[in-house]
Amino acid sequence: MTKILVIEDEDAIRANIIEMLELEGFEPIAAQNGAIGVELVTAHKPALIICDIAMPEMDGYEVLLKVRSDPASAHTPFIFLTARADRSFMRHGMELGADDYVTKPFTFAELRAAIYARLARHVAAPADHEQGLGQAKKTLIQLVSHELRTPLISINMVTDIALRRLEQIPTQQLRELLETLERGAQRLNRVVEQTVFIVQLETNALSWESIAQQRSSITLSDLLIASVDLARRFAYRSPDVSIQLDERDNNTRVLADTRALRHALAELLSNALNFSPEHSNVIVSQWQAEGMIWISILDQGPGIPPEELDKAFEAFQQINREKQEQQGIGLGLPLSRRIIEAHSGTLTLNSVVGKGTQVTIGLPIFEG
Amino acid sequence: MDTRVLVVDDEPDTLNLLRVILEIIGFEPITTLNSLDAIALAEAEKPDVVLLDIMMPDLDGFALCKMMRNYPATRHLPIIFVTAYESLDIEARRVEAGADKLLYKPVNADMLAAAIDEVRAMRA
Repeated sequence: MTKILVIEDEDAIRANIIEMLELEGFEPIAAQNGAIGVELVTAHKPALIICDIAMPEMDGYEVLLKVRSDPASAHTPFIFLTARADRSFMRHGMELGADDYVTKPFTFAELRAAIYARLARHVAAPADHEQGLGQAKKTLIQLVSHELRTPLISINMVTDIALRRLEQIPTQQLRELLETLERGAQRLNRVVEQTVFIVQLETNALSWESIAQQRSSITLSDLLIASVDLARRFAYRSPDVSIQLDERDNNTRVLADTRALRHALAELLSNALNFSPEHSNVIVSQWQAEGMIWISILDQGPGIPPEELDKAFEAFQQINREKQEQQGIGLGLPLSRRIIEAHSGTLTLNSVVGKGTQVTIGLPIFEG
Repeated sequence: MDTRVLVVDDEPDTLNLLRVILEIIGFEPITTLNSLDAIALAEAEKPDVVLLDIMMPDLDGFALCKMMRNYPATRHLPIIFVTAYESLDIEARRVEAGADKLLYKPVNADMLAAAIDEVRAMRA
Protein backbone atom coordinates (compact mmCIF):
# COMPACT_ATOMS: atom_id res chain seq x y z
CA MET A 1 0.00 0.00 0.00
CA THR A 2 1.15 3.53 -0.72
CA LYS A 3 2.41 5.24 2.43
CA ILE A 4 1.61 8.93 2.86
CA LEU A 5 3.05 10.89 5.75
CA VAL A 6 0.94 13.74 7.19
CA ILE A 7 2.80 16.30 9.31
CA GLU A 8 0.25 18.67 10.87
CA ASP A 9 0.15 20.09 14.39
CA GLU A 10 -3.60 20.78 14.44
CA ASP A 11 -5.24 17.57 15.66
CA ALA A 12 -8.58 18.08 13.88
CA ILE A 13 -7.08 18.77 10.49
CA ARG A 14 -4.59 15.89 10.83
CA ALA A 15 -7.38 13.47 11.79
CA ASN A 16 -9.51 14.56 8.83
CA ILE A 17 -6.67 14.09 6.35
CA ILE A 18 -5.83 10.66 7.82
CA GLU A 19 -9.43 9.59 7.46
CA MET A 20 -9.61 10.78 3.88
CA LEU A 21 -6.38 8.97 2.99
CA GLU A 22 -7.68 5.73 4.53
CA LEU A 23 -10.88 6.03 2.52
CA GLU A 24 -8.80 6.44 -0.61
CA GLY A 25 -6.95 3.24 0.18
CA PHE A 26 -3.62 4.81 1.17
CA GLU A 27 -1.63 3.89 4.26
CA PRO A 28 -1.45 7.14 6.24
CA ILE A 29 1.23 7.87 8.84
CA ALA A 30 0.62 10.77 11.22
CA ALA A 31 3.11 13.16 12.80
CA GLN A 32 1.98 15.95 15.15
CA ASN A 33 5.15 18.02 14.74
CA GLY A 34 8.08 18.55 12.40
CA ALA A 35 10.71 16.66 14.39
CA ILE A 36 8.60 13.50 14.59
CA GLY A 37 7.75 13.96 10.93
CA VAL A 38 11.41 13.95 9.89
CA GLU A 39 12.04 10.78 11.91
CA LEU A 40 9.04 9.06 10.34
CA VAL A 41 10.32 9.94 6.86
CA THR A 42 13.53 8.03 7.61
CA ALA A 43 11.71 5.14 9.28
CA HIS A 44 8.85 4.63 6.81
CA LYS A 45 10.10 6.02 3.48
CA PRO A 46 6.65 7.35 2.51
CA ALA A 47 5.71 7.72 -1.15
CA LEU A 48 4.48 11.26 -0.51
CA ILE A 49 4.64 13.84 2.29
CA ILE A 50 1.91 16.33 3.20
CA CYS A 51 3.24 18.97 5.56
CA ASP A 52 1.83 22.03 7.29
CA ILE A 53 4.03 25.14 7.10
CA ALA A 54 3.13 27.02 10.29
CA MET A 55 4.13 24.74 13.15
CA PRO A 56 5.85 25.54 16.45
CA GLU A 57 9.54 24.62 16.88
CA MET A 58 10.29 23.03 13.52
CA ASP A 59 8.23 24.63 10.77
CA GLY A 60 7.41 23.17 7.37
CA TYR A 61 10.36 24.77 5.58
CA GLU A 62 12.81 23.21 7.98
CA VAL A 63 11.12 19.83 7.56
CA LEU A 64 11.43 20.21 3.80
CA LEU A 65 15.13 21.11 3.97
CA LYS A 66 15.86 18.09 6.17
CA VAL A 67 13.84 15.77 3.92
CA ARG A 68 15.57 17.05 0.79
CA SER A 69 19.06 16.79 2.28
CA ASP A 70 18.68 13.05 2.81
CA PRO A 71 19.35 11.27 -0.50
CA ALA A 72 16.76 8.61 0.39
CA SER A 73 13.98 11.21 0.44
CA ALA A 74 15.46 13.89 -1.80
CA HIS A 75 12.91 13.16 -4.52
CA THR A 76 9.87 12.21 -2.43
CA PRO A 77 6.90 14.31 -3.58
CA PHE A 78 6.22 17.02 -0.98
CA ILE A 79 2.97 18.98 -0.66
CA PHE A 80 2.70 21.99 1.62
CA LEU A 81 -0.47 22.88 3.50
CA THR A 82 -0.67 26.61 4.04
CA ALA A 83 -3.16 29.14 5.32
CA ARG A 84 -1.32 31.91 3.53
CA ALA A 85 -2.13 32.19 -0.12
CA ASP A 86 0.25 34.95 -1.20
CA ARG A 87 2.52 34.12 -4.07
CA SER A 88 5.89 35.06 -2.63
CA PHE A 89 5.22 32.82 0.31
CA MET A 90 4.44 29.92 -1.99
CA ARG A 91 7.36 30.61 -4.25
CA HIS A 92 9.68 30.34 -1.29
CA GLY A 93 8.37 26.84 -0.64
CA MET A 94 8.72 25.82 -4.27
CA GLU A 95 12.27 27.15 -4.42
CA LEU A 96 13.16 25.00 -1.46
CA GLY A 97 11.96 22.00 -3.39
CA ALA A 98 8.29 21.53 -2.56
CA ASP A 99 6.28 20.01 -5.38
CA ASP A 100 2.90 21.57 -4.68
CA TYR A 101 0.86 23.39 -2.08
CA VAL A 102 -2.76 23.28 -0.99
CA THR A 103 -4.24 26.31 0.74
CA LYS A 104 -6.38 26.03 3.85
CA PRO A 105 -9.25 25.71 4.01
CA PHE A 106 -9.21 23.05 1.32
CA THR A 107 -11.76 20.55 0.12
CA PHE A 108 -10.83 16.89 0.02
CA ALA A 109 -11.20 17.02 -3.74
CA GLU A 110 -8.41 19.61 -3.92
CA LEU A 111 -6.06 17.65 -1.68
CA ARG A 112 -6.92 14.43 -3.43
CA ALA A 113 -6.17 15.96 -6.85
CA ALA A 114 -2.80 17.28 -5.62
CA ILE A 115 -1.87 13.87 -4.17
CA TYR A 116 -2.70 11.91 -7.32
CA ALA A 117 -1.04 14.45 -9.57
CA ARG A 118 2.20 14.30 -7.57
CA LEU A 119 2.19 10.52 -7.25
CA ALA A 120 1.54 10.10 -10.97
CA ARG A 121 4.28 12.53 -11.92
CA HIS A 122 6.69 10.89 -9.54
CA VAL A 123 6.05 7.49 -11.06
CA ALA A 124 6.19 8.89 -14.58
CA ALA A 125 9.43 10.79 -14.17
CA PRO A 126 11.89 7.87 -14.02
CA ALA A 127 10.08 6.20 -16.92
CA ASP A 128 10.58 9.30 -19.05
CA HIS A 129 14.22 9.36 -18.11
CA GLU A 130 14.70 5.72 -19.07
CA GLN A 131 12.93 6.31 -22.33
CA GLY A 132 15.21 9.26 -23.03
CA LEU A 133 18.27 7.14 -22.37
CA GLY A 134 16.93 4.35 -24.54
CA GLN A 135 16.37 6.78 -27.37
CA ALA A 136 19.85 8.29 -26.91
CA LYS A 137 21.42 4.82 -27.03
CA LYS A 138 19.46 3.96 -30.14
CA THR A 139 20.52 7.20 -31.82
CA LEU A 140 24.12 6.58 -30.85
CA ILE A 141 24.07 3.06 -32.27
CA GLN A 142 22.49 4.27 -35.49
CA LEU A 143 24.95 7.13 -35.88
CA VAL A 144 28.01 5.06 -35.11
CA SER A 145 26.98 2.17 -37.30
CA HIS A 146 26.13 4.56 -40.13
CA GLU A 147 29.38 6.46 -39.76
CA LEU A 148 31.48 3.29 -39.62
CA ARG A 149 29.57 1.36 -42.24
CA THR A 150 29.26 3.98 -44.95
CA PRO A 151 33.01 4.48 -45.46
CA LEU A 152 33.67 0.76 -45.07
CA ILE A 153 31.11 0.03 -47.77
CA SER A 154 32.84 2.53 -50.04
CA ILE A 155 36.22 0.99 -49.38
CA ASN A 156 34.89 -2.50 -50.09
CA MET A 157 33.25 -1.42 -53.31
CA VAL A 158 36.33 0.40 -54.57
CA THR A 159 38.75 -2.42 -53.82
CA ASP A 160 36.37 -4.95 -55.34
CA ILE A 161 36.06 -3.22 -58.70
CA ALA A 162 39.74 -2.22 -58.77
CA LEU A 163 40.92 -5.78 -58.18
CA ARG A 164 38.48 -7.41 -60.59
CA ARG A 165 38.56 -4.96 -63.46
CA LEU A 166 41.76 -3.00 -63.15
CA GLU A 167 42.56 -3.24 -66.89
CA GLN A 168 39.12 -1.91 -67.83
CA ILE A 169 39.19 1.20 -65.66
CA PRO A 170 40.00 4.48 -67.46
CA THR A 171 42.38 6.83 -65.63
CA GLN A 172 39.70 9.39 -64.77
CA GLN A 173 37.50 6.74 -63.13
CA LEU A 174 40.47 5.22 -61.35
CA ARG A 175 41.27 8.62 -59.89
CA GLU A 176 37.68 9.02 -58.66
CA LEU A 177 37.76 5.56 -57.12
CA LEU A 178 40.98 6.37 -55.28
CA GLU A 179 39.54 9.66 -54.05
CA THR A 180 36.53 7.82 -52.67
CA LEU A 181 38.89 5.40 -51.00
CA GLU A 182 40.81 8.28 -49.46
CA ARG A 183 37.67 10.00 -48.17
CA GLY A 184 36.40 6.73 -46.72
CA ALA A 185 39.66 6.17 -44.89
CA GLN A 186 39.64 9.75 -43.59
CA ARG A 187 36.10 9.41 -42.35
CA LEU A 188 36.97 6.24 -40.46
CA ASN A 189 40.12 7.90 -39.16
CA ARG A 190 38.08 10.74 -37.72
CA VAL A 191 35.69 8.42 -35.86
CA VAL A 192 38.65 6.44 -34.52
CA GLU A 193 40.40 9.64 -33.36
CA GLN A 194 37.21 10.88 -31.70
CA THR A 195 36.86 7.58 -29.89
CA VAL A 196 40.47 7.70 -28.73
CA PHE A 197 40.07 11.23 -27.35
CA ILE A 198 36.84 10.36 -25.57
CA VAL A 199 38.55 7.42 -23.89
CA GLN A 200 41.53 9.62 -22.93
CA LEU A 201 39.21 12.27 -21.49
CA GLU A 202 37.13 9.73 -19.59
CA THR A 203 40.22 8.13 -18.08
CA ASN A 204 41.86 11.48 -17.33
CA ALA A 205 44.82 10.61 -19.55
CA LEU A 206 43.91 13.83 -21.33
CA SER A 207 43.62 16.46 -18.61
CA TRP A 208 45.14 19.78 -17.58
CA GLU A 209 47.32 17.95 -15.03
CA SER A 210 48.83 15.66 -17.65
CA ILE A 211 49.25 18.51 -20.16
CA ALA A 212 50.91 20.78 -17.59
CA GLN A 213 53.17 17.93 -16.54
CA GLN A 214 54.30 17.22 -20.11
CA ARG A 215 55.14 20.91 -20.63
CA SER A 216 54.89 20.41 -24.37
CA SER A 217 53.97 23.67 -26.11
CA ILE A 218 53.19 24.84 -29.62
CA THR A 219 53.10 28.26 -31.26
CA LEU A 220 49.70 29.53 -32.20
CA SER A 221 50.59 29.79 -35.89
CA ASP A 222 51.79 26.17 -36.06
CA LEU A 223 48.65 25.06 -34.24
CA LEU A 224 46.33 26.95 -36.59
CA ILE A 225 48.09 25.81 -39.76
CA ALA A 226 47.96 22.17 -38.66
CA SER A 227 44.30 22.54 -37.64
CA VAL A 228 43.29 24.07 -40.96
CA ASP A 229 45.01 21.22 -42.80
CA LEU A 230 43.15 18.61 -40.75
CA ALA A 231 39.86 20.51 -41.06
CA ARG A 232 40.11 20.37 -44.85
CA ARG A 233 40.31 16.60 -44.57
CA PHE A 234 37.36 16.42 -42.13
CA ALA A 235 35.12 18.68 -44.17
CA TYR A 236 33.09 16.89 -46.81
CA ARG A 237 32.45 20.06 -48.75
CA SER A 238 34.88 22.93 -48.67
CA PRO A 239 36.81 23.52 -51.89
CA ASP A 240 34.90 26.73 -52.62
CA VAL A 241 35.26 28.13 -49.13
CA SER A 242 38.49 29.79 -48.12
CA ILE A 243 39.87 30.04 -44.62
CA GLN A 244 41.29 33.46 -43.91
CA LEU A 245 43.90 33.49 -41.17
CA ASP A 246 44.04 37.08 -39.98
CA GLU A 247 47.66 37.21 -38.93
CA ARG A 248 50.43 34.84 -38.02
CA ASP A 249 51.54 34.78 -34.45
CA ASN A 250 54.91 33.04 -34.27
CA ASN A 251 55.62 34.09 -30.70
CA THR A 252 52.62 33.14 -28.62
CA ARG A 253 52.76 29.59 -27.33
CA VAL A 254 50.18 27.45 -25.57
CA LEU A 255 50.69 24.28 -23.55
CA ALA A 256 49.08 21.53 -25.53
CA ASP A 257 48.49 17.91 -26.19
CA THR A 258 49.09 18.91 -29.80
CA ARG A 259 47.18 16.07 -31.43
CA ALA A 260 44.13 16.62 -29.26
CA LEU A 261 44.09 20.40 -29.54
CA ARG A 262 44.63 20.25 -33.29
CA HIS A 263 41.72 17.81 -33.51
CA ALA A 264 39.49 20.11 -31.44
CA LEU A 265 40.21 23.15 -33.62
CA ALA A 266 39.88 21.09 -36.80
CA GLU A 267 36.40 19.91 -35.75
CA LEU A 268 35.35 23.53 -35.22
CA LEU A 269 36.90 24.70 -38.50
CA SER A 270 35.35 21.85 -40.46
CA ASN A 271 31.94 22.72 -39.00
CA ALA A 272 32.49 26.26 -40.20
CA LEU A 273 33.48 24.99 -43.69
CA ASN A 274 30.55 22.60 -43.95
CA PHE A 275 28.00 25.25 -43.06
CA SER A 276 29.48 28.01 -45.21
CA PRO A 277 27.79 29.13 -48.41
CA GLU A 278 29.81 28.65 -51.62
CA HIS A 279 32.58 31.15 -52.33
CA SER A 280 32.46 32.57 -48.80
CA ASN A 281 35.22 33.01 -46.23
CA VAL A 282 35.76 31.49 -42.84
CA ILE A 283 37.59 34.15 -40.87
CA VAL A 284 40.00 33.09 -38.14
CA SER A 285 41.18 35.92 -35.94
CA GLN A 286 43.10 36.12 -32.69
CA TRP A 287 43.85 38.55 -29.89
CA GLN A 288 45.29 38.55 -26.40
CA ALA A 289 43.63 39.62 -23.19
CA GLU A 290 44.03 38.77 -19.52
CA GLY A 291 46.81 36.24 -20.02
CA MET A 292 44.73 34.34 -22.55
CA ILE A 293 44.97 33.99 -26.29
CA TRP A 294 41.55 34.22 -27.91
CA ILE A 295 40.77 32.62 -31.26
CA SER A 296 37.59 33.36 -33.14
CA ILE A 297 36.25 31.23 -36.00
CA LEU A 298 33.54 33.07 -37.90
CA ASP A 299 31.47 31.61 -40.71
CA GLN A 300 28.73 33.07 -42.90
CA GLY A 301 26.52 30.00 -42.62
CA PRO A 302 22.81 29.77 -41.83
CA GLY A 303 23.38 30.22 -38.09
CA ILE A 304 21.88 28.24 -35.25
CA PRO A 305 18.48 29.24 -33.82
CA PRO A 306 18.71 30.26 -30.12
CA GLU A 307 16.58 27.30 -29.01
CA GLU A 308 19.06 24.89 -30.63
CA LEU A 309 22.20 26.56 -29.34
CA ASP A 310 22.22 24.69 -26.01
CA LYS A 311 21.62 21.39 -27.75
CA ALA A 312 24.67 21.97 -29.93
CA PHE A 313 26.89 20.94 -27.04
CA GLU A 314 25.03 17.73 -26.35
CA ALA A 315 26.79 14.66 -27.68
CA PHE A 316 25.31 12.95 -30.73
CA GLN A 317 23.13 15.91 -31.62
CA GLN A 318 23.16 17.06 -35.15
CA ILE A 319 21.32 20.23 -35.82
CA ASN A 320 19.24 19.81 -38.93
CA ARG A 321 21.13 16.69 -39.86
CA GLU A 322 18.73 15.93 -42.64
CA LYS A 323 18.73 19.36 -44.19
CA GLN A 324 22.47 19.84 -44.07
CA GLU A 325 23.47 16.34 -45.22
CA GLN A 326 25.94 16.21 -42.41
CA GLN A 327 28.48 13.55 -41.85
CA GLY A 328 29.88 12.54 -38.54
CA ILE A 329 28.25 11.40 -35.36
CA GLY A 330 27.48 14.79 -33.89
CA LEU A 331 30.47 14.71 -31.58
CA GLY A 332 32.48 17.56 -33.06
CA LEU A 333 31.32 20.40 -30.85
CA PRO A 334 30.95 18.62 -27.50
CA LEU A 335 34.27 16.82 -27.97
CA SER A 336 36.05 20.04 -28.97
CA ARG A 337 34.75 21.77 -25.89
CA ARG A 338 35.95 18.97 -23.62
CA ILE A 339 39.40 18.93 -25.22
CA ILE A 340 39.69 22.71 -24.92
CA GLU A 341 38.53 22.61 -21.31
CA ALA A 342 41.17 19.96 -20.64
CA HIS A 343 43.62 22.65 -21.82
CA SER A 344 42.24 24.97 -19.15
CA GLY A 345 40.51 26.86 -21.92
CA THR A 346 36.99 27.96 -22.78
CA LEU A 347 34.75 27.62 -25.80
CA THR A 348 31.68 29.75 -26.48
CA LEU A 349 29.26 29.76 -29.35
CA ASN A 350 27.41 32.79 -30.70
CA SER A 351 25.10 32.63 -33.63
CA VAL A 352 22.73 34.83 -35.56
CA VAL A 353 20.26 33.08 -37.83
CA GLY A 354 20.85 34.18 -41.41
CA LYS A 355 24.22 35.75 -40.58
CA GLY A 356 26.56 33.11 -39.30
CA THR A 357 28.15 31.48 -36.32
CA GLN A 358 31.15 32.51 -34.27
CA VAL A 359 33.09 30.13 -32.09
CA THR A 360 35.42 31.76 -29.59
CA ILE A 361 38.18 29.77 -27.93
CA GLY A 362 40.29 31.03 -25.06
CA LEU A 363 43.54 29.31 -24.09
CA PRO A 364 46.04 30.30 -21.38
CA ILE A 365 49.24 31.75 -22.85
CA PHE A 366 52.34 29.71 -22.01
CA GLU A 367 55.15 31.98 -20.83
CA GLY A 368 57.61 29.04 -20.58
CA MET B 1 22.25 3.09 -76.78
CA ASP B 2 23.59 2.59 -73.28
CA THR B 3 21.21 1.55 -70.56
CA ARG B 4 20.36 4.63 -68.48
CA VAL B 5 20.34 4.07 -64.74
CA LEU B 6 18.87 6.58 -62.27
CA VAL B 7 20.62 6.33 -58.88
CA VAL B 8 19.09 7.93 -55.76
CA ASP B 9 21.28 7.92 -52.62
CA ASP B 10 21.69 10.59 -49.95
CA GLU B 11 25.35 9.72 -49.23
CA PRO B 12 27.53 11.76 -51.63
CA ASP B 13 30.40 9.24 -51.54
CA THR B 14 28.18 6.23 -52.14
CA LEU B 15 26.30 8.01 -54.92
CA ASN B 16 29.52 9.02 -56.61
CA LEU B 17 30.91 5.55 -56.30
CA LEU B 18 27.81 3.92 -57.79
CA ARG B 19 28.08 6.40 -60.67
CA VAL B 20 31.73 5.50 -61.35
CA ILE B 21 31.08 1.76 -61.13
CA LEU B 22 28.12 2.00 -63.51
CA GLU B 23 30.26 3.99 -65.95
CA ILE B 24 33.04 1.40 -65.81
CA ILE B 25 30.66 -1.45 -66.61
CA GLY B 26 29.09 0.43 -69.49
CA PHE B 27 25.92 1.98 -68.15
CA GLU B 28 24.88 5.61 -68.34
CA PRO B 29 24.21 6.83 -64.79
CA ILE B 30 21.96 9.73 -63.78
CA THR B 31 22.29 10.63 -60.11
CA THR B 32 20.61 12.60 -57.36
CA LEU B 33 21.24 12.98 -53.64
CA ASN B 34 17.72 14.20 -53.03
CA SER B 35 14.89 11.68 -53.08
CA LEU B 36 12.39 14.52 -53.52
CA ASP B 37 13.92 15.27 -56.95
CA ALA B 38 13.84 11.67 -58.12
CA ILE B 39 10.44 11.56 -59.79
CA ALA B 40 10.96 14.80 -61.71
CA LEU B 41 14.40 13.58 -62.77
CA ALA B 42 12.97 10.24 -63.90
CA GLU B 43 10.32 12.00 -65.94
CA ALA B 44 12.89 14.30 -67.58
CA GLU B 45 15.69 11.80 -68.15
CA LYS B 46 13.66 8.67 -68.86
CA PRO B 47 15.99 6.08 -67.31
CA ASP B 48 15.70 2.38 -68.09
CA VAL B 49 16.31 1.27 -64.50
CA VAL B 50 16.17 2.92 -61.06
CA LEU B 51 18.48 2.16 -58.10
CA LEU B 52 17.10 3.42 -54.78
CA ASP B 53 18.73 3.69 -51.39
CA ILE B 54 16.27 3.03 -48.53
CA MET B 55 17.40 5.12 -45.56
CA MET B 56 17.07 8.66 -46.85
CA PRO B 57 15.84 11.85 -45.19
CA ASP B 58 12.58 13.53 -46.22
CA LEU B 59 11.38 10.66 -48.35
CA ASP B 60 12.73 7.15 -47.76
CA GLY B 61 13.18 4.55 -50.47
CA PHE B 62 10.02 2.62 -49.60
CA ALA B 63 7.86 5.75 -49.85
CA LEU B 64 9.61 6.94 -53.01
CA CYS B 65 9.13 3.54 -54.63
CA LYS B 66 5.41 3.57 -53.82
CA MET B 67 5.12 7.06 -55.30
CA MET B 68 6.92 5.95 -58.44
CA ARG B 69 4.50 3.06 -58.80
CA ASN B 70 1.58 5.50 -58.64
CA TYR B 71 3.04 7.96 -61.12
CA PRO B 72 2.39 7.33 -64.82
CA ALA B 73 5.90 8.22 -66.04
CA THR B 74 7.63 5.89 -63.57
CA ARG B 75 4.95 3.22 -63.00
CA HIS B 76 6.56 0.57 -65.20
CA LEU B 77 10.24 1.27 -64.47
CA PRO B 78 12.33 -1.57 -63.08
CA ILE B 79 13.31 -0.55 -59.53
CA ILE B 80 16.10 -2.04 -57.39
CA PHE B 81 16.70 -1.19 -53.75
CA VAL B 82 20.42 -0.90 -52.98
CA THR B 83 20.76 -0.60 -49.24
CA ALA B 84 22.72 -1.21 -46.08
CA TYR B 85 19.45 -1.15 -44.15
CA GLU B 86 18.63 -4.39 -42.41
CA SER B 87 15.38 -5.53 -40.92
CA LEU B 88 13.52 -8.80 -40.71
CA ASP B 89 10.55 -7.49 -42.68
CA ILE B 90 12.58 -5.87 -45.43
CA GLU B 91 11.56 -8.40 -48.10
CA ALA B 92 7.86 -7.92 -47.26
CA ARG B 93 8.33 -4.16 -47.36
CA ARG B 94 10.13 -4.38 -50.71
CA VAL B 95 7.18 -6.28 -52.18
CA GLU B 96 4.68 -3.90 -50.60
CA ALA B 97 6.54 -0.89 -52.00
CA GLY B 98 6.58 -2.49 -55.45
CA ALA B 99 10.35 -2.77 -56.01
CA ASP B 100 11.58 -5.60 -58.21
CA LYS B 101 14.78 -6.54 -56.41
CA LEU B 102 16.90 -5.84 -53.38
CA LEU B 103 20.70 -5.68 -53.20
CA TYR B 104 22.72 -5.21 -50.05
CA LYS B 105 25.65 -2.81 -49.89
CA PRO B 106 28.46 -3.28 -50.55
CA VAL B 107 27.44 -4.23 -54.07
CA ASN B 108 29.99 -5.14 -56.70
CA ALA B 109 29.97 -4.48 -60.41
CA ASP B 110 28.91 -8.01 -61.34
CA MET B 111 26.01 -8.01 -58.90
CA LEU B 112 24.84 -4.67 -60.24
CA ALA B 113 25.10 -5.69 -63.87
CA ALA B 114 23.30 -8.98 -63.26
CA ALA B 115 20.52 -7.34 -61.23
CA ILE B 116 19.97 -4.63 -63.85
CA ASP B 117 19.67 -7.24 -66.61
CA GLU B 118 17.36 -9.34 -64.46
CA VAL B 119 14.86 -6.58 -63.60
CA ARG B 120 14.86 -5.28 -67.17
CA ALA B 121 13.98 -8.76 -68.39
CA MET B 122 11.21 -8.99 -65.76
CA ARG B 123 9.63 -5.72 -66.90
CA ALA B 124 10.22 -6.21 -70.61
